[in-house]
Amino acid sequence: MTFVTVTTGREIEGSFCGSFFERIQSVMKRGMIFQHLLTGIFTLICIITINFLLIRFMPGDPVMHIIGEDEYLRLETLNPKVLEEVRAEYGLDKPILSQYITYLKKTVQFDFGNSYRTKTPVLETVLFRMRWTLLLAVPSILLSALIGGSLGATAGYYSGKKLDTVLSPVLMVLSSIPTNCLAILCLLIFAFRLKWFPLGGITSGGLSGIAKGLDIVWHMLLPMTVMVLFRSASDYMLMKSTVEGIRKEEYITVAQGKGISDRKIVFHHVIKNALCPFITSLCMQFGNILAGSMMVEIVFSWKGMGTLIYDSVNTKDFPMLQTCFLFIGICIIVFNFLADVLNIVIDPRLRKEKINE
Amino acid sequence: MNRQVKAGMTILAVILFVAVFAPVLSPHDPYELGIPYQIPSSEHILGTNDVGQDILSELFYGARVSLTIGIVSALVVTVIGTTLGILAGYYGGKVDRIISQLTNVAMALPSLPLTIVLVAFMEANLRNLIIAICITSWTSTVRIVRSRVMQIRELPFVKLETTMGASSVYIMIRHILPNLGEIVFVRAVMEVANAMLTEASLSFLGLGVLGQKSWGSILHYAFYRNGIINGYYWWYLPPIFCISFSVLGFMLLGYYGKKDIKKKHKKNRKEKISYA
Repeated sequence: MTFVTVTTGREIEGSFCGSFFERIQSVMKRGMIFQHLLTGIFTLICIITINFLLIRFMPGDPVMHIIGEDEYLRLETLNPKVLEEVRAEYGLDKPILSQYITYLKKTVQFDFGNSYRTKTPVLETVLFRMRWTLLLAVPSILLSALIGGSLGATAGYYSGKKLDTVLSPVLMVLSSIPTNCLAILCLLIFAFRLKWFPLGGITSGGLSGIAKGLDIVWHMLLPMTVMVLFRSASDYMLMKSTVEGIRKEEYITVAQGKGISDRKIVFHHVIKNALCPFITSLCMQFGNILAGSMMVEIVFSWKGMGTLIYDSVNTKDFPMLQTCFLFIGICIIVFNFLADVLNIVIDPRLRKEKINE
Repeated sequence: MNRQVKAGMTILAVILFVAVFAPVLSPHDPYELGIPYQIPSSEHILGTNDVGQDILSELFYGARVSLTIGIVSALVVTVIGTTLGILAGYYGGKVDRIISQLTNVAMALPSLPLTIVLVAFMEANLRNLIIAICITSWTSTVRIVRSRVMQIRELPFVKLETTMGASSVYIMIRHILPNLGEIVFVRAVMEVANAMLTEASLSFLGLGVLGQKSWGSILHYAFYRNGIINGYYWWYLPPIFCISFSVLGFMLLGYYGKKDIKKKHKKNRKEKISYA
């Protein structure tokens, strides 16, 4: 996604005569940020609503989805009165609108109910699992941005040269292998055949202190490698095509004509202009962080959010799923907003009137 | 047409051929039970799985489900995306704002988890799987089509038509839609790859179409019934290869096809300038 600016005569004048237009610009900037904020809040409400409707429109009694099938059957035969109390607590005997309001209230109070399986508050489990996912995903996103970004920029700048012709097809093939398949292949070669790494899990247990930390790192390396491989491939593709586009711009030719070194051109002109789409992509990766490593987590039985969602689907653990869903949604919204703001801050063209190209 | 596009087309032709002629090509009935865990031999070229089904035949039939889901989802997504994109781009204003807002919301939905939840709680048949895949994947087509339509709308011939009194619907169908052809095609091809990947992930998790062979579900059984721990390479390597191979085919077509189109556009533009 790129943006084209419409430059009117007035704006050109404005850039010459100082502070007045700058102030207008900053107000517009704030206005745009405010607009993005509104979109974010609206999206959040939509996600909460979808969450709410999901339970109500599933086949079967909604109470069954809230307390679980086992509990429902037990109460129905032994103690129907308690069942009615639960129904009243969630307002399920009232019209749908007041149910919605009750649900909103509970969401705002971070009251997500208990899990069917563990009978403990859902929030605790989700927050605990989230830690492990973040531990795995944050370094892998940053590392692959560094590797994929720098390789992509180099290959794009020297397009058609050795690096490009060797690396591009390899990474293209790599990115067409689904993550779960790549994970299985790595598991097979490095953990099963070569026995360099454990078959899965987070820790071998029975350790403490530094030994435990090292053990976790040892367990982490293989899943992280898979994620870095996959993510750097897509980062590389994006960076390469962006830089290739910039390379053809006239200002690069001018800079080269002036005899400026390649290094200076890359750092001063190319990278700066290639940053916008790259940052947007990074923010999207961070937004998807909670669910993004799902397949890798499942293959390596890494007990993070991904496996939690998968287990909850298998056991039809609705409160857990809803809460995961909400957190994932919030994460995406926050990082989308961040991407918009960062782009406005980085790219002065976006502060002016824009047409989405 | 460049080399990469040709390679992509060849791959897709092979897969399509296999999918269409699966019953003729398969040496065995993929549902027929037999001796489990047989290593590849002349009788079973790729060996058998845990219940003795012939894996080569499974793969041939699997191509059908994977391709059907990929292509149908891509068609649905493309039709919805193109329609919304044209409406938003052509009318602008309020229509545009509503559609853009809708797109923004849909883009913030976590796509794989939502698809998984939908599939898990609906009956797992072909139709529901396609619906679940489509629900989150129409957004990028809308965005791309919308911005292209906004450019086309400003071209002289559209304005001419408008002043000649042509109706909006007529202009959109007769003049704008044909000009979108290539962009929509590239998007649709990428969408097939995406849908096939999603389907592979879903059936790998055991949430695919019940009782039907697909590449993802073969991998599911290979993984969860210890095919990997026991080293039955003929069981899990072929589906991995098939999924990656076909996704690569679509990606080659989409990625390099896009470049081809860009080059063509540039050429056209240069010609126009030289005429002027």
